[in-house]
Amino acid sequence: MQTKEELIETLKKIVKPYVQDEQAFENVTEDTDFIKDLKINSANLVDIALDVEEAYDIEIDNESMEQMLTVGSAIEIITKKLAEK
Amino acid sequence: MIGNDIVDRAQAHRESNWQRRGFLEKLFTIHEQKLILTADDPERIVWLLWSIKESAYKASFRETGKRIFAPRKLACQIISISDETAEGVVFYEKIYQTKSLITPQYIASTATSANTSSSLHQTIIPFEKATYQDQHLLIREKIKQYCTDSLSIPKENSYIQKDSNSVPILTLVKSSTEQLHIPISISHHGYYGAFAIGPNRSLPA
Repeated sequence: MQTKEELIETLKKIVKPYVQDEQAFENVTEDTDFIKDLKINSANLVDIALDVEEAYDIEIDNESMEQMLTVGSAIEIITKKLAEK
Repeated sequence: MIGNDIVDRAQAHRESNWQRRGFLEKLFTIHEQKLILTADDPERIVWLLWSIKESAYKASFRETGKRIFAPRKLACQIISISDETAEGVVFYEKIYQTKSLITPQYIASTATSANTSSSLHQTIIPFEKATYQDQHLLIREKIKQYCTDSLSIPKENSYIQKDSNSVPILTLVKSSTEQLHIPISISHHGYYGAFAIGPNRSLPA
């Protein structure tokens, strides 16, 4: 099981191709908002969910995806889904 | 309540692979997936439906302040569609009416609550640069210009603010005693921007 720091690093790698604001990406914290801060196009949020599913071999159901708007909430969802495996 | 959204089709084509496994299923209802998969140009319908959903979501967010990424919950029906326009409705806690413009370069949609009869004004702005900050400033200048020109008031008497939900509102100072507060919706993507101005009796539709 990855530590929280490792999870953030993996998530950063997943998110990087979709980021439009490189400067905000330098300073990612758990509070970083994918759309408001990183200016990620909302249609790409679904790619992030799909990439996360592939990277961790988990399923992000629609209810979980609804809340995947920040780095922190994504980490929370990944941790929960991994624990359920 | 108003919302508007624009999709730069070339940018969308580069940014997203709609044929990726799971993509359509996560974004679209069964009905919408069927519309896409039976279309002559499926990609066109993907981005038409997406811009419709986004515009309705923005209209809803303006009202509720509820931030959520639940594209399947915004259920679209296309009422009519031609080569250049489409009209639709979206069911999302209530009913929204949508109108879309379709060109080879972009797809732009506006949404209003179904009970409002007045139509919105939408302007499309092609950009020379795709950088966020330039577009952010230029689009705001264009909004002020459009409204102050229409009402013959000095541009300096207009400003755009965001409310507590980060929803933009244009304020026009007509006189020392009269201010107009006009809801606006702003969107940009790739090389295109769009703004919509809420129904206001003082402004042309």
